[in-house]
Amino acid sequence: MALSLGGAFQRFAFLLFAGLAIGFMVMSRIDHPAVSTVRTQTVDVLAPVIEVVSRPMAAIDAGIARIDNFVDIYDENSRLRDENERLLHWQATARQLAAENDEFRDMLSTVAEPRDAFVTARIIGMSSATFVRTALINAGSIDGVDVGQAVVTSHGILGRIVEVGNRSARILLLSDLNSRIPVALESSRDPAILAGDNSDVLSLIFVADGADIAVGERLVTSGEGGMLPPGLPVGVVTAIEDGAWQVTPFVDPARVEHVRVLDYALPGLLPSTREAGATGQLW
Amino acid sequence: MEGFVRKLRQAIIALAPPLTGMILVLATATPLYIGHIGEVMPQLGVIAVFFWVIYRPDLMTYGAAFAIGLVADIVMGAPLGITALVLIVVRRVVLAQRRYFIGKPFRVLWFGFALIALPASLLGWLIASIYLFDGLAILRVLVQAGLTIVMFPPIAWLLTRCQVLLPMPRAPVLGRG
Repeated sequence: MALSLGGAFQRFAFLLFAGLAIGFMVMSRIDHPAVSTVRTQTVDVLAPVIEVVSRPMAAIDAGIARIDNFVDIYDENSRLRDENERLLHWQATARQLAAENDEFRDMLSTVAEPRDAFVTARIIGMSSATFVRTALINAGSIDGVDVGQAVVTSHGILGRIVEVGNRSARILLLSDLNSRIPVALESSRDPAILAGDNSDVLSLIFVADGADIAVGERLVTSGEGGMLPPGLPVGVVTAIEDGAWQVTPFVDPARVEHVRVLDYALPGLLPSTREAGATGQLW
Repeated sequence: MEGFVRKLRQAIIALAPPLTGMILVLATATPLYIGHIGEVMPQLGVIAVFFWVIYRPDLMTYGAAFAIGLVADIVMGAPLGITALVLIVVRRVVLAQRRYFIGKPFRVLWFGFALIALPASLLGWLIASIYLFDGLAILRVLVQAGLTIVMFPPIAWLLTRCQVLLPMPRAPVLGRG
């Protein structure tokens, strides 16, 4: 066995690479633009590889989901019938309210909300690390994805875009330690900030004084700061522990396959990657 | 022509350890939808480094371990260098202990791996906590270490298949040791 390399050389190599790793960490910490560039470009190159690797996994998943579906198809059917009945009723109510709303807006000459366009993308990577909660999608700046955009599913908001490559982008999930989004209580519109801590449960911070928050209260995005569209469903308050409100998000990242990236264009709030030629900072 | 084929074969052999490591790392980045399994994934990179340092330390160099870790950090969106540092420490520790593993039955290898995998996960947690100035929840770390240890036999079996390609001391397989 070719193990003739000297111990001194080995020690030198260890120290060299340890120093290199620490150097990279320092550069990540100070948000050196090179770190982001390296990351987005490497992910751009690796995205097709990850997609290929994910195919067999997706097939196994789909198989198991099929068997699951088959088992409770009867119950599911009757449940869906009931739900459909209820939803038809809600649809009628929603139509009526939308018409009424339009009328009121007209009467008050309200400034129109920007129409949001969206891009649909597939999740190709989910961070499995214990200290970071992000996901990768197979759409990038070529498709119109940009830093700061909200990522949603039919259930609500999943996170927002933090890094954009040409053909891939990274989502910072609500549960990440660095995630902070402005929310409002659905009933009272009291504002608060929703913070992640890398666990599955989120917490409310900076709650307005005197806000009356009960378990079961639903939260929506407030649209404050103009980065996220207002009114996206976020989650529900599930517990109050030691004066801290715990929130369970509506979207379970472990179950999301396709997402919509909303282009909520309030111009001039964030330097666009397309204009500035740089990407947003994750760390 | 024959010379070219031989050179190609040598190149494939030399690159097999880092490449298998990187493929394993990419595999853990793919989303899984079976229950909540996908939320914490095993650190397959640690398995690759452990396995190759024991059987072909000349091919699983510090540079190779570093590269696998860097790819892991990039794909996961983690601060660059955290996993890279963990993997080169793993290489150093395993290199010092490898003579205890050579020619031993599989269960000894597995037990030895468990003794490496848990501190490796804890080291990653410690570095990340220092980096973020925040004590992160340790439960996920323990779950991750557990999953990594459980995944060792199948991954080691896959890597052992590379024996067809690479000359190396015969690795024991679960059930035969």
